[in-house]
Amino acid sequence: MMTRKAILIPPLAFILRIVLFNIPTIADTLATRVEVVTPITSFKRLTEGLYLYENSVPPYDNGIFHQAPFLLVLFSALTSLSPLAIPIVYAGVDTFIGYALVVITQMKQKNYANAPKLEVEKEMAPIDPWTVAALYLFNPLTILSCVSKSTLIFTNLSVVLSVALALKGDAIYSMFWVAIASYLSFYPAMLMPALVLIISKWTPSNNSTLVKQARASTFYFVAWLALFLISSRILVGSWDYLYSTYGTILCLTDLTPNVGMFWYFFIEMFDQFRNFFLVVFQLHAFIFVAPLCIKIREHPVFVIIVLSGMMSILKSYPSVGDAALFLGLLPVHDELFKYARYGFLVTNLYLYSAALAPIFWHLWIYAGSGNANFFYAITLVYNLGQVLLLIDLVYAVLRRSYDIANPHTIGKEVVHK
Amino acid sequence: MLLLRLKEKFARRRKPLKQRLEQRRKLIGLLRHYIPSISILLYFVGVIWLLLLPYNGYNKETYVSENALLPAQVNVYYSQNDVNIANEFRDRILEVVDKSRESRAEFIFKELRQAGFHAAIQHYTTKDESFNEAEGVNAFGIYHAPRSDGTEALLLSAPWVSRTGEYNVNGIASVLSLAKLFKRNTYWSKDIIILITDESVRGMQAWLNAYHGVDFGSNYSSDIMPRSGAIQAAINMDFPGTREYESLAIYFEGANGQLPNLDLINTVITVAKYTAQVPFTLHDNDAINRPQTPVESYLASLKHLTDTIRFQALGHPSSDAGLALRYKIDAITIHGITATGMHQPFDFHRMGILVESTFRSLNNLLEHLHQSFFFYFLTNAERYVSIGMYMPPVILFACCLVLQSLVLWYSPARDDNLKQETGASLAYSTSKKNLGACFSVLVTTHAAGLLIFYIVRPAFDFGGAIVAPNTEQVTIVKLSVSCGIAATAILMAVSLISSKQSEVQVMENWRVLKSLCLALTALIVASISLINFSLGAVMGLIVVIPYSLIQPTAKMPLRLLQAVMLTVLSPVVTLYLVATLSRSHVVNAVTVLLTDYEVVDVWLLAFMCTAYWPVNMALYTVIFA
Repeated sequence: MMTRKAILIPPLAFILRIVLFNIPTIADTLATRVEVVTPITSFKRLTEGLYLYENSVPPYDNGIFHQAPFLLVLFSALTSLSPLAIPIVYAGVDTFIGYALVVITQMKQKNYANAPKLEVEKEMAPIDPWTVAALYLFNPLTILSCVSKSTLIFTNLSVVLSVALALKGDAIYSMFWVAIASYLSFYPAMLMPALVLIISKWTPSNNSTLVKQARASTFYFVAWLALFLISSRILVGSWDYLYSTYGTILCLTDLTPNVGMFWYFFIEMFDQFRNFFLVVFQLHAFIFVAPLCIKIREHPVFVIIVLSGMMSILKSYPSVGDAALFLGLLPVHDELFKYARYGFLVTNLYLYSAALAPIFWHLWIYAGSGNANFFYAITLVYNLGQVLLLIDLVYAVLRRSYDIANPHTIGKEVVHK
Repeated sequence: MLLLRLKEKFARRRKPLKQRLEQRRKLIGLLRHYIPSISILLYFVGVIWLLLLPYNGYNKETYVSENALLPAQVNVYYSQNDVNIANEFRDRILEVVDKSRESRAEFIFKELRQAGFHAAIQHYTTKDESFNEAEGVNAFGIYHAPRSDGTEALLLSAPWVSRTGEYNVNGIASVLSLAKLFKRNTYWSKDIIILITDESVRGMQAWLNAYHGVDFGSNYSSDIMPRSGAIQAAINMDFPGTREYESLAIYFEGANGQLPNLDLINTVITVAKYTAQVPFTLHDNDAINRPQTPVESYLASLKHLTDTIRFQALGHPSSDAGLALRYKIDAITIHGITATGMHQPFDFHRMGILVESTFRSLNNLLEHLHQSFFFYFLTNAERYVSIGMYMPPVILFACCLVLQSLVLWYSPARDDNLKQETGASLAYSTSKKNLGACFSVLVTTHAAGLLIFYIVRPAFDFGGAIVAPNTEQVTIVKLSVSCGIAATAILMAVSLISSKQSEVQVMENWRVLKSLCLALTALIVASISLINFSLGAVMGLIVVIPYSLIQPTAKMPLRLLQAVMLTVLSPVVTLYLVATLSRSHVVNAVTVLLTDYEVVDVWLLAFMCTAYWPVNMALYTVIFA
């Protein structure tokens, strides 16, 4: 299955990450960059919580640490092993995400083998699964996010595992992983309906209906989540962690800048409107789940891709690691690329925001000649790029479905009404 | 209802599909045909725009924006008595000025202590011209003002050696007499730091680093370094020799093209104009013979502008004060131009008044200088160009590149599938671009650039093989090694893009590669111009047209011509040309570049190696693909 070139991809990716971890200037700089780490994924803040935890002080009392209790346990074990353990785990997990993407691509291609296709697609081979992995593993955003030791990587791992297991028809463990992802960073809960669609669509042995499947999966999801929350309560000894983790995500108590839309808006906001707009902003992130799951139900993996894009734009503390997951999942549906129209523009927007975000941050924080508007302007550019990409993708999937359903209209003018 | 009816009405008026497609195709053809010329036009619009900036219609008079400053509104106390003190200091400085660094610093230390300052001597180690360890001594004192809480301070500094190469005798004498005056008055709400630096740039950098806790390698005469609060503003006095001065020159450009808040310059100028009444100018230009005709005034403004652009583009601080900007300290150097003619010269009295009145204004500051501009050009000491006026040319340069890049990206290698179409164009396109080869070219050249950067850096001594680093030979070896690496990278890139591929693909490849290179250049020009406008503008000015013209041709002479053009634009040759123009040797130019990188932390070297050169290398591939 693996070609000779493909064999090289995982070790190369792994070694590249280990090398970067061992260049202190790069690793230390990245660990503090606001574009890469956020208050809820920062490794620096995690070590603070860890120190308190290991010294039997309630870790959530300090107002700095906002991450899930399981991460405390995991890293408490890792730090006791050896100082090498943490880089190896990060590099290993990232490489494993690459492998999970291979599995997802293979399963998706198998499932779509007999699906209706366009005439032109019949002689074209689908993308090599290992290319998908390479595109994820050598994406600069992925590498930056990994080397910054952002704990978002565990959320991303859980998301891809849940998708892979859903494609294999394993409802219980798929729900286990999506529950982990939701437990770690809340927003992935919105992927649950799309996963149910995947399970019920492509599992031949499972002859239950969608409703039955949904009911069972919801039960598994809630049960896993309850299990995690209760065991966390036992681990840290109080329910305070709920407010410190999910409270921060939902109420935006930490206004450290990031690449998202929330921070600037809520810095400027008058207090009396804050609650209203919090509800509006948070609902906005979730509101796309139902329409996407209904309109594009034939392509549930695609729904996952779009939703992960939505998360990387609309969540309260996004970072480039979210975009890395979104861009990593994107090539799974490579047949849509020929419909994409904004490739050049979107690439340029990503590049410009990558170049200008550090520059504007420098002007604001170090040189003192700029201000917060500079950096916020560039996060708008970055998110404009992502939104355009999403629009383009959704257009592509709808237009392709239309072309497949109406082959006689190909090459004729279609009027959208 | 109405909307539907309107829609129907418009739908009926639409022309038949075939006609519309024909129109669209024509339009696209026209665009494709004219965009290269339009983009060249944009470039020239940009150039003309830049040349218009010095014209008085395109710049405005400066004004003091921060109300708290109230420049030239105070009674000054610097009197004949203080002039006598300064004269006495001058004689005593002349006695010690030729002695060792240590005794010079000791002298300042004693005087400051006597004046009631909390004084100290800083022994620092730094790197000299050939990057060996070198030592230096700074002396400084802090006046903890009775009404200050020690959180804010003002800095008055002077180097031992002036920018003219003479000893800064009058400057230091004036500073010491001012120190006595400052101590005498009680209205200070900020601490005052007096600093006399050894060896100008290095001494200033060492002191700033130490004050802000960046390096811990210095030794002090006291147990710890005396400190005050955050420095709000700094004035650096540079008055060489012992004679009188005909005019006051202002140097304000910092490292990496950073500028101090315009209000600081405005304050000094206002004080110089009304309180001290001395002629003033920017840099070392003529302040006495004011331009009479509009042409003269335009040329004088252009001279000021090009001076600033030169300092900024090289990233080189125009004076010691420029180093302070990186620590969020707004700072300028005031320099006395020694009197030569019959114009009424000025001496200690008016120098003292100038600095005293300026410090009184700065003392009024309630918060950090922020009201006025940080992005500006000065066409003379009293007129400025704001960012809204000077930014468009660079945006035009970037647009010019992006437009061409777009045309190349969307133009297919063969035009036939465009002509064959009869119906509406397909919603999808199955043509694939060979991005892999183009990306590998860019990755190769960037890796080469990074490698060159690591080799050229002064810290790199070929693995300890060279005992005395950075002699002339080493510089030449480093330069030739860099050129070798660049040449190898170009050869590799050419083989990457042209091996094992059909003619058509190679044709397609060069379009994609050139498109990527132009887009990348536009990105570099646009983004660098935001931190260092002059560098972006200069880069845009020199590369836009040559880069646009590059394309593969079958004719050998044309190919060679293009290669020569790229070689002229490559950093090594550019450096050589700059060095020749400023009548120095290329080795000296490299040394200045390396010193700036090592001591002052100027980014130009990194920018040249990792952003500018790789694109230049990649474009060779377009010619030889």
